[in-house]
Amino acid sequence: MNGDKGWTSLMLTIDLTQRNISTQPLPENWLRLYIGARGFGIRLLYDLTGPETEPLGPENVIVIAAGPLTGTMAPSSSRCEVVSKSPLTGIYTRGDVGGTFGPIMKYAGYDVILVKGKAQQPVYVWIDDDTVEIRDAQDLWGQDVWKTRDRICAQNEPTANTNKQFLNPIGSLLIGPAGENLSLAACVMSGVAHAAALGGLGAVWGSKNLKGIAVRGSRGIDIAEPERFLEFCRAQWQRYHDDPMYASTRKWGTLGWVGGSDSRSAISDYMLGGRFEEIEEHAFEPIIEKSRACYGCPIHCDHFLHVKEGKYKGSKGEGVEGFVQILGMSFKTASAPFLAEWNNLCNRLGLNVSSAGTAIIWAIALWKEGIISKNDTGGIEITEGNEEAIMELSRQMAYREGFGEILADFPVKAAQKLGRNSDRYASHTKGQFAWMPGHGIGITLIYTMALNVNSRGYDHLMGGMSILTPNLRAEFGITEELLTRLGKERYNDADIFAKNAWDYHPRIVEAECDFEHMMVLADMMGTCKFGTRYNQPVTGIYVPEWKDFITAATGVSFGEEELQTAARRVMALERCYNAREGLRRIDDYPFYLWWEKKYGKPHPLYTEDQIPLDREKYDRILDEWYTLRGYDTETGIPTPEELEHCGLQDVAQDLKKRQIHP
Amino acid sequence: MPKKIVIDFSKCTGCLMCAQVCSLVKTGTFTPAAARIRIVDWEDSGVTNPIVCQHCAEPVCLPACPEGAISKDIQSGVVSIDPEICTNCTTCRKVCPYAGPVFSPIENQVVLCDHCGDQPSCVSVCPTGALQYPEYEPGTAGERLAAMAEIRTTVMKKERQG
Repeated sequence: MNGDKGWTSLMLTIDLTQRNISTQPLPENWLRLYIGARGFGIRLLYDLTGPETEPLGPENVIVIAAGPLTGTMAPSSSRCEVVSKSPLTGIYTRGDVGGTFGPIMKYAGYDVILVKGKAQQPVYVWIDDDTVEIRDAQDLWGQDVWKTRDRICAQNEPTANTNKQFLNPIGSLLIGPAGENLSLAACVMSGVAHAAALGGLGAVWGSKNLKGIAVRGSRGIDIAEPERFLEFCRAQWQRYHDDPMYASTRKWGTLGWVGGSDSRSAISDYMLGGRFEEIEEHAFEPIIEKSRACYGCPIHCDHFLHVKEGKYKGSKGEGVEGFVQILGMSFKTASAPFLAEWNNLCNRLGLNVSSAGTAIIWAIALWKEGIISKNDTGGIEITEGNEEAIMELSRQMAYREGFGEILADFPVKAAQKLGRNSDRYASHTKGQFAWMPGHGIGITLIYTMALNVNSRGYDHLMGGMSILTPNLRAEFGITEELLTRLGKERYNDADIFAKNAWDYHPRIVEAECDFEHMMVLADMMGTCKFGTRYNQPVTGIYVPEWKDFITAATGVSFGEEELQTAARRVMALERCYNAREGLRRIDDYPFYLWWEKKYGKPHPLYTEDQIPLDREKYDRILDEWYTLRGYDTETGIPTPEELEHCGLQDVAQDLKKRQIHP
Repeated sequence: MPKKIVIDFSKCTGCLMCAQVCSLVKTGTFTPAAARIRIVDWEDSGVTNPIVCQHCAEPVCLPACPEGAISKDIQSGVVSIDPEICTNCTTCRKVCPYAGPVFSPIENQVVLCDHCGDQPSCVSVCPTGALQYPEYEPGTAGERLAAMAEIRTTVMKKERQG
């Protein structure tokens, strides 16, 4: 196996303590076993960190990993993974980020960038093909993400040739003041508007005094069979046009989902049962200036927004997503200009929008219940729809000032700090806040499980076949007939999607596992899930298409089963990492059931009729999921046999040595 | 009548697929730095603008080349650089209002769009129709320069609005 087509097979290691830079070829068997991005990320994290690693200590690592398709023309192939041990959850976390960084890092010649140690003073890393420098960033420290990016670009563009900038664009991963101040809501920003968001990744960078990494590349990615690869791309682009979701995704991106969110229980009054009735489906239309895309993406779900009148006149920026509007509804202010400006503020501060939003929704609930008052918040009135309060609290979260000192640690540590039974409102799974449906319950039984079993905690990107449910609205073209047809075609079972709701269905877990492999493979290949069946349910990319793309790109022949096993391997490894940190079956339950199991009494705020989830049915599908995945049904830990099957004997030995396996 | 790649930058999303496919068909690799088409990205204003050789009726690069390596085919209108003669001095690039000529690090050579033999790959992959390849009444370099100036003015106007 060559490994020089599709992959670059090169890892760049930067030791900030020693100020040492080196490159190593990736172990040859990793390419087949872990494929890329998410696979490389967890393998390195498992080997380099463990229960003894302090997430904000110099011993934690930052892995930035691209996949074999990153930077190619395979649909939506712009992604790279940012992986560390999370300071928010204390377990594995990763952020999958689009924009330009992943492709440019590949063009510069690297599949993986590994950062270790801690710099004495603020630094940033500059990469231009094989020139790699650790540079002083004291004058950039304290600057917001947008200004920092401007200044790094200006520093590295020879002024003599003003054309150079577009000749060879610069990709950047940067933190803002949030990361510098170790706010656990801090993310890592790719470019100006894309974020590796969850798990407090930005704080890990801040703890290392690493302001960011900027990269320019001209070495390129070799492709084994260029003509065949292009044929596969053209065929897939053509197929997209037959998908009922394609037109909506291209026009609205995730903003198109907002209209359906009332039926998906996404809008939350943070467990207090209320609903915001004024769903303005296309509220952003007047301020959308144009569509924007990540590299290599025909779908262009992103937008450039420009507020032309009113209070927020002049606000410009990229990237408001549907969930920002959903958060806005939970704030009880769906004003598009405000949300656009708030989104820009978060992007500049390097603050994860969903962290900030969910923490503020929590604060609103506490305010409403009289648990906090002006005395706690430094005079800020955290009432519903108070735009100034939302802006100010977000800023405080980034700088850890005032009440932001508590909100920055949302959910678990924040509730511990505040006390006063505030933890009952701070819903989370595995320490990761439940950001969409406030209470961790999804739209269907299987979706609820998918939200909660994910390795990085509460996560809607695990699977759950979220679109293939009858309770989405027909305007997406998801009709009963379509679901029946797809069920018959894919699983020889007409009901599997058409009756995918809160009832148990005997084959739903099997279908879910299949679907999850596709989701994990998207992360391993370095592509976005929007090009897959996740968002293009009829003609999106699935395992056979991955097989074609990766084989033509790398010249290494993969079988469909081999790809599925690779996804299974990566999932098992992530789970073993978390098992080593002490996670067990109880951590796979939605918040209110977790509460019951932990404290031995029902969650005080829920009534049964609020929640459509049946405990027995949930236990039943969880058992089934463990069994199909090869995890122990009592503990949720991958069994030695499963690890053997995945070729992870070394991990099995490690778990045995640590007495996690008998 | 000669054809030309015409750009509607208001439709461009900045996806870079034009540059990706260009480098793939010309070099067998994905190396946008080697692509004959590039994208200018004004991040602050959301403007992205593909830039490619316009094969001008009166190319300013042609007389500027100190080696006489640049020629223009009268029938197809295509301007080309003879790699045998070219010394990679990049004078052509400096005088071109579109920054058309490009130094390709893969071929180690200044290269120019050649319309892929009358079937431009970039136009065929553009997902939004920002790139078109219509028959085109050849304008003078002066007219095209004016058009370019207009694009720049539009961009500046957008900048000022903020």
